Amino acid sequence: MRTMSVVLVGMVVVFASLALLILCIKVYSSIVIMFRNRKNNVNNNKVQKNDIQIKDVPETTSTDTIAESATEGINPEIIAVITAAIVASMGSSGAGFKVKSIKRIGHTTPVWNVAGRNEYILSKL
Amino acid sequence: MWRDFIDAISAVIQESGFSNMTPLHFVMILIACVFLYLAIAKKYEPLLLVPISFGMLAANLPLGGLMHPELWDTTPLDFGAILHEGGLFDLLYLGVKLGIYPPLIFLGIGVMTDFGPLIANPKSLLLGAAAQFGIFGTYLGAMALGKFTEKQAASIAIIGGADGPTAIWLTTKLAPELLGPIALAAYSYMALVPVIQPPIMKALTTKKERQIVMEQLRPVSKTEKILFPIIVTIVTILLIPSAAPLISMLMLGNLFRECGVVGRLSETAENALINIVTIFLGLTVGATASADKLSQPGFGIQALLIIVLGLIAFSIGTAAGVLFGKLMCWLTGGKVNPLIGSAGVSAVPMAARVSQKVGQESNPQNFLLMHAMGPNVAGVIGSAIAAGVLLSMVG
Repeated sequence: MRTMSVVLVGMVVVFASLALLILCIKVYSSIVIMFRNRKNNVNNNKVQKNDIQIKDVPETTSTDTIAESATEGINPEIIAVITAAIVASMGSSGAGFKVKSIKRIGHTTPVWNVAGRNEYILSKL
Repeated sequence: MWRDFIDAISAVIQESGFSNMTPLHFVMILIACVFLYLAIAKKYEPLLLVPISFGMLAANLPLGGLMHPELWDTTPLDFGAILHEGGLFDLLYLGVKLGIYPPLIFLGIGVMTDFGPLIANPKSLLLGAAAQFGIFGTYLGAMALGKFTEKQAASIAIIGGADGPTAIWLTTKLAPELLGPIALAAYSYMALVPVIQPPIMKALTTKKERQIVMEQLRPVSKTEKILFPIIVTIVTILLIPSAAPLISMLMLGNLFRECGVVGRLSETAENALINIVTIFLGLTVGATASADKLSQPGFGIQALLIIVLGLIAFSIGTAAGVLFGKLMCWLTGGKVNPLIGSAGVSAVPMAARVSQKVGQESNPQNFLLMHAMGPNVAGVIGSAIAAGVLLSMVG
């Protein structure tokens, strides 16, 4: 009788204590996850607000940004002209290629050659 | 001159261990050598079996004076006599007798254990609980045999927990006279997990059940992992105060691991400390298996019964875990693979590896290891709780 009671009480206590631990783990895990989700939501909201601000900036000062890029390098209008010239010289519609960069190349042609070429072009005009 | 020489030589021989050697000593030395062979050549739990079997060997060499079993048979213990007359192993054995070493080993185990899979799937704690049926089932069987006292039966039953330190801790509290055979049986069966468990697992499950692929576990945050040892310590010790030494050290070790601010402490606990304690524990536990003990009437039969009952305990634990896994499989509509239930018998991480291996035999695409780690670490907590319950009820 005593042996049976040790077995029964023992198993019940082991199961009950581990079941209680399951409950505790579930409760604290859900609390931690809830806090983490709330924190993530706050962070996401902040990020979204920042996105809007970034989007707003180019819209309101679009002309400034173009001017900036013009001062930094080549004017966008010149870029458009160069691109159009390339498309025209290639005889295509412009589809299938993309202008990635336009760089000014330093003069390597001897100055007398340039003078002769200019004279030839002028004579044809 | 010649006569004196002969007398001197004979005196030396008479004072040596050879002349004091009994057949029983010889048997014990032979057993120790067999265990050494198993540990070194067959690699059966060598980290434990080498010190245990060497302790057994050294303590059974007559007149060595390393261990004095008669000093430990007095009630209450005469600590003065132990300190003054005890040998090296007697002094080291104080750590076992006072219940110091097993909790320190649990500290190291705590550092090495990742409770993440358990936190991700808390239901696996139930599988860890189910596997403890082995302990209580064997207690029932040992009592029915009528060869053991209540305390001895509880100590033998704890072998079913497949947790060496827990078995040693409880046996030193309840039946220290059986410490040697119980420790040896516990560690031997832990090493034999890959041999004992698979036939039971296959016999109790269908191929379809073994092929079940479980859902991937959710990632567990660092905060959850840090809170786990704190909450388990509070809840478990408030519920079962007698399990405090094991649970508190296990959880302290795990807190070291997860908090991330005590790297030096966790490194010490999982390497240097656990190794030092393992040497002391193994040596002294082995030393308790002395020829003097074996010569006590009935001890041989008791040791043999312990080996058999230990195997039964282990098998019942495995079967109960698998059967509970089947129940969970049925209740969840086939989402749980019953094979992870067998990992509920501690033996970390060997039992979980066995679940993975048997699962992959049926479905090579199945990865059960992390799912089995949940019940596996739950088994450590479960067996510590079961030991606490037995101590408070029987002790």
